[in-house]
Amino acid sequence: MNLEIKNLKKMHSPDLGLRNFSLEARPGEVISILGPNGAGKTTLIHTILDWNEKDSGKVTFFKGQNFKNHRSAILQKVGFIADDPHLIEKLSIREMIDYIKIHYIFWDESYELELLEKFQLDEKCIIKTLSRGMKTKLSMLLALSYRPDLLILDEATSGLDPRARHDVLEMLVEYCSEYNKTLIYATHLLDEVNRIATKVILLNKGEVALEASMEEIQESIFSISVDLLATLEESSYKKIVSLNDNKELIQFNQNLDSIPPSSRECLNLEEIYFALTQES
Amino acid sequence: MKSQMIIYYFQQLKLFSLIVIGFSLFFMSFVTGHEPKLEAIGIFTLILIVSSQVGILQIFTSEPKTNSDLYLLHLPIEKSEIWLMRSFCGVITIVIYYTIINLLCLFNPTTPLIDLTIILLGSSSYFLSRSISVFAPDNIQAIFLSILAITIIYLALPSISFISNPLGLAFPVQIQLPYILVYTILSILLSYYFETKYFRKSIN
Repeated sequence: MNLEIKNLKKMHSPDLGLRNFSLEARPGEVISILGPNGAGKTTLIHTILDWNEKDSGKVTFFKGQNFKNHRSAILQKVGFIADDPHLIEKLSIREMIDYIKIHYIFWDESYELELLEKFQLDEKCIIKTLSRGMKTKLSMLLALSYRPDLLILDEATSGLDPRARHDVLEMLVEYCSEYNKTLIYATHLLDEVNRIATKVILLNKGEVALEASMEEIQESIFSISVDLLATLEESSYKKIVSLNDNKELIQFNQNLDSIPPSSRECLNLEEIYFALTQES
Repeated sequence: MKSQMIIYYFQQLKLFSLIVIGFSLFFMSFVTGHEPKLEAIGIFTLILIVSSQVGILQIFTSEPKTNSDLYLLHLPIEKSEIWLMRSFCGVITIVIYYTIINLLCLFNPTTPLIDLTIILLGSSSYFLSRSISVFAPDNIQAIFLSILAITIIYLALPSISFISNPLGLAFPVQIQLPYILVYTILSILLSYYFETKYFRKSIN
């Protein structure tokens, strides 16, 4: 397990924050954290990374390590890319790389050069002259070159043009699948989730509104009429949310064959997102 | 690795820390009787301090905000180690600042005890200002709150007791070294506690 979170709580005010969040992130998983503004995505990521002090709960990395006692060891194996890249603006790309790499035991210089070429970054360029997309690519290079087991992104691609976004996502998917690493990825962009996620966690008002794998979303989450729902055993489904037109969004646990396909309507991720966040 | 970081910290040492250090050193220089040799030098020094600090403040506040220090959040270094390196750079800067003042020979000669007192008070002011900056909503408020707090502490705490018969530019004072030592240790502990507990705020 690369990351384990149990009942995490962090409230900024009575209405704003994160409540009872739990997660188990295994190698190879690409977990998307979705949600509207103020849902708690950034609070979650900042609390995982120990930037916010949690109110309660437990966050452990790599077989029980925690930030209180193992900050240095954890950060050798965790990469983070923010929406607004954290770089030393006055340095050149080469100086920034050289300054950062000395802190990492497992810095892979051949991979660093490969990424420099792939992202077409000119080592002599001063960082403050770079475009937003180039800064994100440099952040990605810095976060990937020590081969982290867990990569965390906070809306890192939101400011990029479609081409740059595509390149960055391709790079991430390749990295995670090739080296069996974990990616946790907070975003607003549903098309990205559809493309790369293996698991989706939808946050709304600080709570988990939905947690499901992409397979489950496609195969076991449906909307059905309230009348039909009344005929089913309660143990065979989990109610997610009430929809318009006298329908319910539910997740089936078993016995899907008992429902005629014509009576159940499969929703895509965008429809599920809007159904779950309709009040906000 | 550490030497490279220390060099970087020296380059990155917050301007506001320098302002506070400068303020506390000059303040203490005057208060302890370590006054300028001539009244003209005193007035000139005062104008220089005020204008340079206002100038620094203007440059500081007009600079666009960057995320330059936030990279520290990513590095695999313990918080206490980062605190220690920043503190080392800060204290060394105070000593350099004070040495330059003395080498310029603008002030009257002083005793080692007064030198030690000035450096201790400068250091404690620096740590206090770092603690305040963790909670101050912006840089300007951090600077003014720090200077206000340092002034109050210098004048209100029993570290300095005023004696009668005022003469010359300086205030006649008696320094209570044990109090100053306690005050310095407390400000160091306070800075360590707040900066490791509110790590992100402390480097932002």
